[in-house]
Amino acid sequence: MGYDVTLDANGVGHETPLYFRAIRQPYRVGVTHLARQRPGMIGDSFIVGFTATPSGASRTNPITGRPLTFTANEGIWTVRVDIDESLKDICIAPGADGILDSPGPYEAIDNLSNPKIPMGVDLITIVRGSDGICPYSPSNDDESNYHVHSPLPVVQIGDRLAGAGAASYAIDTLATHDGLAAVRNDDNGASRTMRPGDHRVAFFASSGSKQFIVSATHLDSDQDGLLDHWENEGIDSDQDGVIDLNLRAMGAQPCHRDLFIEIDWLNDQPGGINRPHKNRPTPGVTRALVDMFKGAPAPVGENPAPCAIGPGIEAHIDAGPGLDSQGGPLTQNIPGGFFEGGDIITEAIVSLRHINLVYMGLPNSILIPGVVTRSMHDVKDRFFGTEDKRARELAFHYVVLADYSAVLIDKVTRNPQIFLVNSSTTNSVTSTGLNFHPSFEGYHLMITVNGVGDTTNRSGQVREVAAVAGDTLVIRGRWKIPPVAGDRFIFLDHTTCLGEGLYRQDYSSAPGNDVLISLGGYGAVQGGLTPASELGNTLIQSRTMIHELGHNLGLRHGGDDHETGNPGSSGYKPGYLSLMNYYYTLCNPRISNPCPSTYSSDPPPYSPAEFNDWQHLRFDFFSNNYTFGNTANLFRKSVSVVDGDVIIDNDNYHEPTTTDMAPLLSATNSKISIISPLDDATTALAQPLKVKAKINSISGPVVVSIYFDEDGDGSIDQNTERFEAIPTAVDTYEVNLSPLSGTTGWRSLSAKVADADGLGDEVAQGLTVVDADLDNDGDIDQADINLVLALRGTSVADAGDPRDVDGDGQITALDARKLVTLCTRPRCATN
Amino acid sequence: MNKASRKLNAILLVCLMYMLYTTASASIMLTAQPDSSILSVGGTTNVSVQVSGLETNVAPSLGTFDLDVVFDPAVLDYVGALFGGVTPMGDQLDLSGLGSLSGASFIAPGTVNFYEVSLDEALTLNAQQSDSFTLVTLYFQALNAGTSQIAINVNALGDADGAALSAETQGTAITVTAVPLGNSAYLFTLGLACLLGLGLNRRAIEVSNSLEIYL
Repeated sequence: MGYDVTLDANGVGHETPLYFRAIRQPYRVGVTHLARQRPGMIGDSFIVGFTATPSGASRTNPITGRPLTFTANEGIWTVRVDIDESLKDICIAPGADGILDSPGPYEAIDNLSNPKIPMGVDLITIVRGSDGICPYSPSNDDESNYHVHSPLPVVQIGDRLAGAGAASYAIDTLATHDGLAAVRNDDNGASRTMRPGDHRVAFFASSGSKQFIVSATHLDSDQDGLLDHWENEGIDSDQDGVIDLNLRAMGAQPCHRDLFIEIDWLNDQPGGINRPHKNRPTPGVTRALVDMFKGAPAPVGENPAPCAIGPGIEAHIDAGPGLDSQGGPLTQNIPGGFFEGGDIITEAIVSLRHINLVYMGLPNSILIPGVVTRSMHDVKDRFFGTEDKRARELAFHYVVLADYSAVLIDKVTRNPQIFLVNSSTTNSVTSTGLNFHPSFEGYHLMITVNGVGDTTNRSGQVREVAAVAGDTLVIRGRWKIPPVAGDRFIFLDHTTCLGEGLYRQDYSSAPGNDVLISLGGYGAVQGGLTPASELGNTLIQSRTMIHELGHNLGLRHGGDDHETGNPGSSGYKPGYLSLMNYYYTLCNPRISNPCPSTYSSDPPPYSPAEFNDWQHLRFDFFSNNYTFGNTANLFRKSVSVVDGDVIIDNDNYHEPTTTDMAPLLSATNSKISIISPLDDATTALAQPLKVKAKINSISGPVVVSIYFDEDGDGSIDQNTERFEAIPTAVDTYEVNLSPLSGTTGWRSLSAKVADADGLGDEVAQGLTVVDADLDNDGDIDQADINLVLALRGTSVADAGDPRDVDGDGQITALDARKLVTLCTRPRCATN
Repeated sequence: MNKASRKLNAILLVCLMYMLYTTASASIMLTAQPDSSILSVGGTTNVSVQVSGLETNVAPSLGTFDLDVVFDPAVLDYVGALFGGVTPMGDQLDLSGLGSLSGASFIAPGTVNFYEVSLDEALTLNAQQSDSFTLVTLYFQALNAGTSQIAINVNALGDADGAALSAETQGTAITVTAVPLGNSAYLFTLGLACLLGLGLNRRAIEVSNSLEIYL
């Protein structure tokens, strides 16, 4: 029947918990029981049905304007309860009130009679064992965990039956009597394998003089979180009889696991004050995701006929109709005509401003003068599921590629920490009287000038903190325009990415469906961009996405817990061979061994070092109402907080630090850096360019290649614009490029070293090309400089005015000095 | 410890404290420094615009500046200027002594604009330029009794690569008392002569001060 539309946790204002305000007692509560795996109750799954009225409607569907998943009317609901064993021992003693409290959005309660059970919360009930000490223990069968999933609405007063338009009937009366049943036979009477969560509901409904007996089913035969009727018929989001999301046409199969993903990204970061970059997926990223999930092993114990769940998960990735920078398709396994992904996200509908910070939190809760912010929630409402009445909320994971996702906030006020600029140099900023903790090194700071839309061009500059010296922060590189006293700055978490997921006290988890990939930090460090100016590289992007999608699928950092880390830390688990393990998240399999490129598949029994990720995936994100229909963190403002001098991580989210990337960044292959021209330097059209690179080779002979868009046509020709450099000194290589042609503006310059064994390193940086021969006499000399000085102090009419050498919109002495550095003769002599 | 030793230790301590302070603050300062802040009508004074807080022999160095100096035209008359001042260092934006691109002009009553663009190589500036020096020395004649503030406005300040530098500014004030003197044309000539002579005298004073420190 298709009434298995799930529900939303949070009401109007996003942060008001909803609960059942009334449960009809005269009607019996139906229960089904599926015994699985082990003797006794562990592993069993129950479905409980009841008639109840929620305290309010779910949040509004941003596309249709009606409640997204349920109304405030009375209806028939079901709740799934799994009885799971603990993954590891944990002892939690209840407080004086007898209730186990926990930090975070969820709270353990000891019964289901609480009249205000938050519907958005995945609850835990605890059965205390005979020893009364450790209720969570895999070794004690009498001590088990009752995991209560979020309630699902079956049908409500006001819903429509029997199709669209005049033929449909609005329900005005509902009744049920012991109407819940297991589903061991399909609609044709054939035997089927019943899975956890499967159930059938029979109920009476009337619409005026019309009366109905209805049988509704909720089946997920392949346990991929996509109900059978969604995969067979599609999803009718608003019950108007029209399929809004045709999953079958998009490749879904009810007896094979499918995973649907939509990817959108920010518009390109323009040049000027920061290094320009692109947020789109790098070549091969979406293909890498498909290949990784295709290699999934079959789930253990879930393969009885007639719908055996075999190996492999088919990933369907909608990244729009576009191509990557090497001409490959971004979308995978979704046919044309169904594309909704690949949207370009900007500040707002009518603005083209690049967003500095996309955050998981309540919309408009992070407002920092001079910083462009937008909540993931708002982005999702605007760009996700817009062509299918938001039916994708039921079936798709939503991935957004942005710059930054976390701003440092005050632990107490939870407002962004904004620091005052007292002075600066070309490569530092000082906030007098403060004493910055050394852990700020590696963070990225952004200059803000109070007042959005300021024209100083100081605002928005992002640089990496290279060193901390008391109240002074030394940045890597230089400011484009140094901040001045009275400006402000904020700290941005440099490599934080976020994947929705909930982790309970007993180390079990609940899934989510939103992912925020924020690799903007790579735009502020040398070598952080691909030759096509994309953030990171294919390895970093793909492995980060797989990691965050793992959180969506219920995986934690440490397998059976959330601990992770590098050698020497308490969370170091070299035996947990998973991309979810920070130690391996960004390793390079060409360099490091071991370096797992997928989730772990070690067989049970589990131990702290070995955990089978694949056997613990949870696809049913619709059963986690805390995030379903919403984005995570709506009750909070951001994710990074300051605790005294020390920066600490939020508890639920992936926040790698630079040390987490150690396996990649400190790899033992040859390294290369460009020593001339300097990063962000300026060079002139029609002038030759000498590139000098320094290597540190440990593997004997190497090949050093320079890649540059010499002809300025906007792309690097891999055949004609790859230049092999020659050694000129120990570990130093040089190449002289021909006089540059093409258009002015920013171009990427990259250098690559390849070892004899095929390993190597690659870095990229920016170079601004200007037209410095202002009088068109074939050289750059004092005559050209005088043309600039004659207009000193004026604004340019056109953005591309060559006399505005530094592109700041003003003709100043700075432009003249930049020309001096480009002169073709010593001291800019005219002949 | 004799008296001379105690005095030397005290001076060294002050110098050390100053070095620590300047290292920690690491901000560039532009200062207007008059030879004399009290003049009689018709009298003359030199105002040096000095930069400090750069790094010695490493980046950042100063590659260009474009400044406005603002004063009260009813009290003072601007007579002339000398880039690099009259210090032994000379023009630190022209380390090779082969010239730079510079200019001075009135842009409004009481406002004079000065700019200089170094033609030296960036490597030369970064390697040889001092951390503090005089950008320009201005020559003023007192016109009428009163007090004139001398303010510095920064239009542009750039390093050897033409990247912008930020700086704090500190002006000064000159008070003119009502005592008449001779005509300005004569004083202008005398003033230039005084500038040159003062440079020589100043070197002598510095040597004398140095000797005093090490006694």
